Amino acid sequence: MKKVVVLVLLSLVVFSLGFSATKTIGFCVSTLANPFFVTMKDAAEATAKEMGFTLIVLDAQDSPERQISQVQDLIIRNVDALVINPVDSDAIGTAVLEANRYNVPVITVTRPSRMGKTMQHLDIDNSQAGRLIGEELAKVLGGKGRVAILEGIPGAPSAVERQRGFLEALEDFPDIQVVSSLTANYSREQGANVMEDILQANPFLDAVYAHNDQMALGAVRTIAAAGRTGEIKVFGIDAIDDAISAILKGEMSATVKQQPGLQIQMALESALKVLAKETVEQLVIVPLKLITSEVLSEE
Amino acid sequence: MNHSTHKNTKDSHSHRFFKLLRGEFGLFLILVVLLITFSLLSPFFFSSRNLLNITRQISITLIVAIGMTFVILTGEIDLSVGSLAALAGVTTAATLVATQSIFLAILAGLAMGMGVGFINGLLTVYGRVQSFIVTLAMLGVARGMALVWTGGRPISQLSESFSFFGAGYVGPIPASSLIAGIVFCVGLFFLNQTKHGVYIRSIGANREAARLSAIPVKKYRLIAFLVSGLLSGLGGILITSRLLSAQPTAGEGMELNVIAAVILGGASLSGGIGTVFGTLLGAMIIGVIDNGMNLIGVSAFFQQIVKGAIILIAVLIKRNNSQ
Repeated sequence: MKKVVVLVLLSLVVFSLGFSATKTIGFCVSTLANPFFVTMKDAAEATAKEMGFTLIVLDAQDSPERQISQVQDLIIRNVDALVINPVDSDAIGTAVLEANRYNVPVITVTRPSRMGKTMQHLDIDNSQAGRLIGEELAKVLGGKGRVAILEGIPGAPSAVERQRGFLEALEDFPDIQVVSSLTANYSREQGANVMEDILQANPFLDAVYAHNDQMALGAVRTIAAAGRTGEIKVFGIDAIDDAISAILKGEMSATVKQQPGLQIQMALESALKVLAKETVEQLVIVPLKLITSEVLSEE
Repeated sequence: MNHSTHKNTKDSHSHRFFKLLRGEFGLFLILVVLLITFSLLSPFFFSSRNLLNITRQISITLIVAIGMTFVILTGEIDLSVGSLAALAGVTTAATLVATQSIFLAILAGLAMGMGVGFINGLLTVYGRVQSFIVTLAMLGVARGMALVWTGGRPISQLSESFSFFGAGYVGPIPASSLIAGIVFCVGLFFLNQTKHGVYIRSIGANREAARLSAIPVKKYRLIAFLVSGLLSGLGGILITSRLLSAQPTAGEGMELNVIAAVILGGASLSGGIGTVFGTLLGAMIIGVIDNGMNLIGVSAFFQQIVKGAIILIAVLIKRNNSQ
């Protein structure tokens, strides 16, 4: 009899603890050196406040090794769920497996994990982003001209897809010629440097397409230094704040808004659903929006 | 304290134990204070699971830092360790994909590490170029080779069994912690219990005096670079195993963390002073800070400031303590 009472009491305590304690969600972000992910972090913190859970944000500073350690630390920290923005799809695998081992649900954003079980992956259709920019670029150039491309991190799925979509869009415009396609690793500094080399090698250039706004903004600086702002049109992807103001100033022509805030908000909502034992979709594609000066003036 | 070490070796034998205590006591104290602080701040910190987790997290830094201790003891520096780790990792992964033999893959990675370490040593010792420049150049060359070899893309799809070394366990103990433990013991023995250790230390303390005492100075300086190369290679293999993917960009900035661990551990950049045990403490302090802040949930931007500040304070306390 005594045992039964103790058992009932114990289970009540456990139940109430599990019920009343606020949930803790860990968010492992690839790098806060990129404003895109800072937007994501800010939106995540706002969502946590609004929906009343504890959020821990850890920044891997673009190092896959550091990210794995951080995921392990969060598992030990007993987080209820993990939202991971992997630095690298392959390298995050062993960390996801570890989370699986301890039954911590994982949701990935922007880059998937190639190993282990994730409850949901939220992504944009990167090739669609490239295609949108490709079509807009063709429109701006009037279907004719010479284009240079600044590529993202070699082999990164986002870079591969953004390149593919863009080139597919250009297939309809045989008079648009890609004269140079070099990597600047998604970095603004490298974007500026590589753009210098491109200008040296290609005196006649009508447009630059960068796989992200950071590189596009780097190119904007170089083009301004060469006194050719407006002559060479610049296109990017991500719609970070600096890119929006560059479009308003006429330094950039267009970018694509991936809505990072919306993306992380959806991810965190899904995490809460998983914790409430609801089912969520395996793959969510976050809608895209082309941003040009016309669109901005309408807003 | 520095030059007395080899002036009267007999005397230092009897005092070695006390010197060890005095030299490393300050560090030990800092580590204990950090452990207590984090235990109070986070209920998850002081658990066997987390402490084992920390040993795994510092294992790679520690292994490479032990190699660095050898080089720094001779009064040189090796800036190429991070790039070399990446190159050795890529070598291992490529060999693994080509031969499907884990044994051959590891051998190839270690050979690459030793090979590049040998070139570093050759250029420094026999080419008479400052090691800072030689290894800075090698930092670029090795990284470039890793990037060219892979075309900038990580080598993935490695066989799952290879992940044992970096991600697996032996009982409750992470395999990479065990490997680091073995490297630590061998390093400790070599530097503290053999004449080679005494030679390496003497060369750093006073190269001319070492030469006059008929110590084969050039040979031992070369050996230090070989050891550093070999252990960087081992570090690279463990990173690759841990990620189950060889990243040509792996280990970027690793040299700074590694040098920080060695210097925090009490070594002097001008050579002659430093112990493997001190390096262990240095690596542990850095590892505990990283882990502890993650567990408490210190905000991302703030972490780097806190870490820098704690390291500075630690070095200051240590300096005052050992005088």
